[in-house]
Amino acid sequence: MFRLFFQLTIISSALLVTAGCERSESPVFRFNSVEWVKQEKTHLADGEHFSEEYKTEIGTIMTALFGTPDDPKFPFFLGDEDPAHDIITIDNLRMAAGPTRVDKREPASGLYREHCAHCHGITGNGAGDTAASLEPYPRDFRLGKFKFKSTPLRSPPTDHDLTEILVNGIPGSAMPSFRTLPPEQIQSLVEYVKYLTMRGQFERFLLGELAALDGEPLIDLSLVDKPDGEEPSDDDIEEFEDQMYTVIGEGLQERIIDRWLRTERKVTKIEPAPPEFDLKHDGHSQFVQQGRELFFAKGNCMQCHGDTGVGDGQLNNFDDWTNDWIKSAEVDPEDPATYSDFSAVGALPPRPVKPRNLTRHYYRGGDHPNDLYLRLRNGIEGTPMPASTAMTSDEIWAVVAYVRAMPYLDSNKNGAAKPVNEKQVMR
Amino acid sequence: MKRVFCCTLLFVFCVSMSSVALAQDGWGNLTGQIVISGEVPENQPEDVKDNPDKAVCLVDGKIPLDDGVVVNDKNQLRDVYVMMYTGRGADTPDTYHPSYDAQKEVKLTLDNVKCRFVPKASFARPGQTLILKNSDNVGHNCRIATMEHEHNVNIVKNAASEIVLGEESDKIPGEVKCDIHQWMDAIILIRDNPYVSISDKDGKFKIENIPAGDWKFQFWHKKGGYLKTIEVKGYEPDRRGTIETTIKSGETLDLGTLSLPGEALTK
Amino acid sequence: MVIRNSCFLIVLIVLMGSFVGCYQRTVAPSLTFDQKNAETLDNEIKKMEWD
Ligand code: HEC
Ligand code: HEC
Repeated sequence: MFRLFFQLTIISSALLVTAGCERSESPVFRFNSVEWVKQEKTHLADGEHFSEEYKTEIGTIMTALFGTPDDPKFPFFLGDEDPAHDIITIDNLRMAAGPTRVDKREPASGLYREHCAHCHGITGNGAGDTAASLEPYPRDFRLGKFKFKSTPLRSPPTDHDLTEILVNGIPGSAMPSFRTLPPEQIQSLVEYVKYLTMRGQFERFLLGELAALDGEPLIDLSLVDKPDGEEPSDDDIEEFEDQMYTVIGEGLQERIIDRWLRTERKVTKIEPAPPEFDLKHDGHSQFVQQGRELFFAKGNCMQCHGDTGVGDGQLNNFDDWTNDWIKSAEVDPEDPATYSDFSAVGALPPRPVKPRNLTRHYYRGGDHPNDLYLRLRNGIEGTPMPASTAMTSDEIWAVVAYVRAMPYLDSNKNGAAKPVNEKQVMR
Repeated sequence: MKRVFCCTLLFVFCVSMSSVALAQDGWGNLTGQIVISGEVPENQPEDVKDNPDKAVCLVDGKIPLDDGVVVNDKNQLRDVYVMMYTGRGADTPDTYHPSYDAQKEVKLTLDNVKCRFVPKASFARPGQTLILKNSDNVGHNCRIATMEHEHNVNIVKNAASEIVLGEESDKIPGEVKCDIHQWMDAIILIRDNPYVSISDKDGKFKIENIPAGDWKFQFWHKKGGYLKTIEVKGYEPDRRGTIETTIKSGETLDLGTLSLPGEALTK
Repeated sequence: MVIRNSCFLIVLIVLMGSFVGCYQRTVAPSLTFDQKNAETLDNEIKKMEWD
């Protein structure tokens, strides 16, 4: 009898535990609390906080413009004429948003929650359930930064770039390939990534304005929405429109959406490779040799990737997603106590960004020579990897040839990789 | 004939040059000098750690101090941006004085000397060319990240790279960093409105050829952000560190000595 | 006896499973917003003449 009772207690407590276990990804957007804490730390004295009302105000503006995870919206300010229809369509957002639908006969929906949310999070904050255990962490879209794209830094990726990422995945990271999905579903996910990114960029912009506001609302609805139905005065309307133009017109349309609209025009031209790039060309080994020299001299590549290219040069850098908050307050990335306020609101522990081990020959941004050309020409956004601005296109091609010709080193085999090309190092 | 032509050219040139110095009809200047009142925040040694390039980066054999707050022996403060305010709800002129046209054509140099950016604070116009120079015997990368601009350029030892800035304008200065030597930092403002002056080693600033009219000017410093506590005789800076001024045709508005409490630079 | 033991085991596994399931990082708080204001703002945005 006692034993039965005991077992029942255990079972019911187990049930309770499961019930009380809130799923972290319920279909609501998360507030960018890390940015909030960062703004407090940079602008206020210790222990001071911004008024909580701002959180609701920001949430309200965000919801009015972008809707919810189940019912996404996009601000087409110019109605049907709005050029943003070229980059986002509501139908595609709907296909990616919402709860996952299993019924095969109905049109698909909930693609993002099905395929992406457990890593990238419902909000696209890169903090899905599995995120903490992945290296590198899944992308937080809200900074608007992307690593592997055909455009220079600060220009968003094109649809083609994002499609390539979804189709090929990112080898050497947890980001899988979605090659099996039909093209229209890929397109819908691409647009949803853009939607989450613009949404996140705008939220960060609003949070950035807080410090300058000093207690005043971002957009003061009471100017036009009087409690007793009173007509707003001309001054009120003017003031209100002024706020709308600065916060939404400048902050969202000009700073964020327009950039996405312009990005196709910013694509970096890939100069064709010289004939020596061809493996069968007589001058190829000469060309690789030239590339090796550039790697050490004009390229300065060994400074980060190490003399032998195993990625053991500069190791104490962080990427921009981490630097963004650790640089703001006195955070020592090695001491969790200094960033407990950030961890409390979901910031992942800082981890240094490692320069790629070039002897392994997997390239996250694609292994086509054109991909490598773009990485060298433009650098890799959000990481220390710089653009080789001083190199001519032929020189870049020579370095690409050298990188591709590096001896394969399986660093997993016997402890640290052996610098087999040690003798080639020239200083 | 040729000589006459040359002389006229020279004459025109001289006239146009002198007009820059003396405020012309329809245009005025703004000047002043910034000094820290109270205690000057102390600069800490740079966090050089055990960087392999330490040897190159030492100044007189020692780890250099951070140059966050630079004053002379009279506590006059360098590197304050005094700039026409272009933010929310601000009036700005439709045209700039023609003397600023040439500014865009000049190539601006940003050097790396002993693991330090020289100059520490700079101002560039959109579309302008930057020469990213490296006078050190080690490699650097130069990471420019402002609100609207981003570049990350590899600069090899004793060499230089050129970049052309994009067309966007910033509201406040952004950062210049090197990932290889993480203590290195500088600031740069990139915007089209040319009415900007960065205080010199004696804390002096001067903005020339401002169209006559009422304009807001803003005070900004890397360490202090918007200098809302700066004291300007006869003016009340607002929470964004701006004051409302009247620039009169042909006159120079001298704001005199502006004093900034040292605490403003500690956050 | 066998049945009872396996019962125990199952309970144990469920318990452990739920603990593992619950072991999650702190997540950022949800977005809070005011539904009525969001609608008002939405209307105002539609009313505005953007150019
Ligand atoms: C198993 C975890 C995982 C899943 C599932 C996943 N991703 Fe990722 N994703 C990652 C990781 C990790 C990265 C970061 C790779 C890096 O930084 O190199 C990433 C990066 C990205 C990037 C940024 C690429 C760039 O150029 O910076 C995009 C876009 C992206 N993912 C979209 C998606 C979409 C859309 C889905 C769903 C269809 C998805 N991901 C599913 C883990 C995942
Ligand atoms: C300031 C440090 C730094 C310098 C200098 C540098 N890199 Fe990198 N590089 C990195 C980092 C960090 C990454 C990893 C980026 C990431 O997280 O995806 C990287 C990644 C790469 C990749 C991988 C791209 C991919 O798609 O996976 C290649 C190839 C590469 N670098 C080549 C070079 C070459 C060639 C040079 C010299 C011209 C060079 N790097 C100079 C830091 C550097």
